Amino acid sequence: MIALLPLVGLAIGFAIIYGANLTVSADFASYLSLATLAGLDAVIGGVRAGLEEKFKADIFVSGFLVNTLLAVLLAYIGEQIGVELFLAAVVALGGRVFLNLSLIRRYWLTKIALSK
Amino acid sequence: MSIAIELKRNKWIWQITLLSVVLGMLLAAALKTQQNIKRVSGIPTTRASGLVQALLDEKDRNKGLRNEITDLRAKVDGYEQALGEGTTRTGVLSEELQKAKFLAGLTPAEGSGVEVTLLDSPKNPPADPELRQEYIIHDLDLRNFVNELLANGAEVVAISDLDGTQRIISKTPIRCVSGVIRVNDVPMAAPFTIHAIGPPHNLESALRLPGGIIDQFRIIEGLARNMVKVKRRDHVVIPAYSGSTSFIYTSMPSAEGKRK
Repeated sequence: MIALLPLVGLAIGFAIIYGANLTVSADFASYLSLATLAGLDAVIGGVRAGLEEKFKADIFVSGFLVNTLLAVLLAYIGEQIGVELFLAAVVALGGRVFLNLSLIRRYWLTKIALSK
Repeated sequence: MSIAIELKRNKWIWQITLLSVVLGMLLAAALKTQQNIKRVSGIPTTRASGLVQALLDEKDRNKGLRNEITDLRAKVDGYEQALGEGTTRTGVLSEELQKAKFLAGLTPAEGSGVEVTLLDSPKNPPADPELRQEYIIHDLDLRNFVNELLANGAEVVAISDLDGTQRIISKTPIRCVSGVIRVNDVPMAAPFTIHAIGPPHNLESALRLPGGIIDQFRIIEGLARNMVKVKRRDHVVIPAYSGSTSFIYTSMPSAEGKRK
């Protein structure tokens, strides 16, 4: 049951901002989406590390902050010099999200198989 | 295993939960922002393929609205005529009104004349960007042809493409905006057909005059043959002008002002 806590947290955070009706100007919309993806990557990476019992709070938190900012910064620089670095960040982060999700799935399947 | 022990063992879950809250906030903000963009712009999506569909829909709607304008103007004409049938006084007024509208280009027109077709050259254009310009129809070509037809006795002129017809009236602009020719502010694309009502023989021979507009159409030899076609027509029908007729800065001087 306790494994569902992150989902509850997600819902709470979502509800707070969604209820507050906060929006960002259209110029920053793509950066915000990118930051969201970086955050998703960090959280799922954290879950994976936790399941593998290699979780370290400092790495997790710094990864979340630095990845988010770096992704946005890279995309910004890319826009300035006319290279779509945005896509690089999306591919890298998206790829990692899928990789980590598959590892998490594998971990749980193994656990279920062992408990039988 | 009691919950307390489980909590201690899974300390990391709490930390992840905490950042999940932040992630949820980011997600909500991103979602809200995207929704806001769609709402403000009135475009249902920000994806390129969706934008194409939105543009096509908008074009369709534009066309529908232009047709509606034509229909409504025809209806107004009908009412005015019906009104004119009442008494001699209103009859005279209505006749005058129809005449004025006819002169202004707000009624359809028909008569004999010519049909000029202007096409982009079917030949493969050279790589040189300057020479390339010779192979396509520009707004300047349309202006020149319209001007030449009017100068040689054409009374009513209209430009058509595959999508529709634009009547040339006294305030019609013909110009190129970022690669798209706009006539009456309606975007048009080659092939163009210019219809003109006027003396068919005069119009045709004026266009074909040695040293005239077709003769000097392009510097490159043989291009004009494929790009310009002129035909006499016994019966040309030109629709009414369907664009805006409102003036913002101009008004009619009052009757007293005129007398002074």
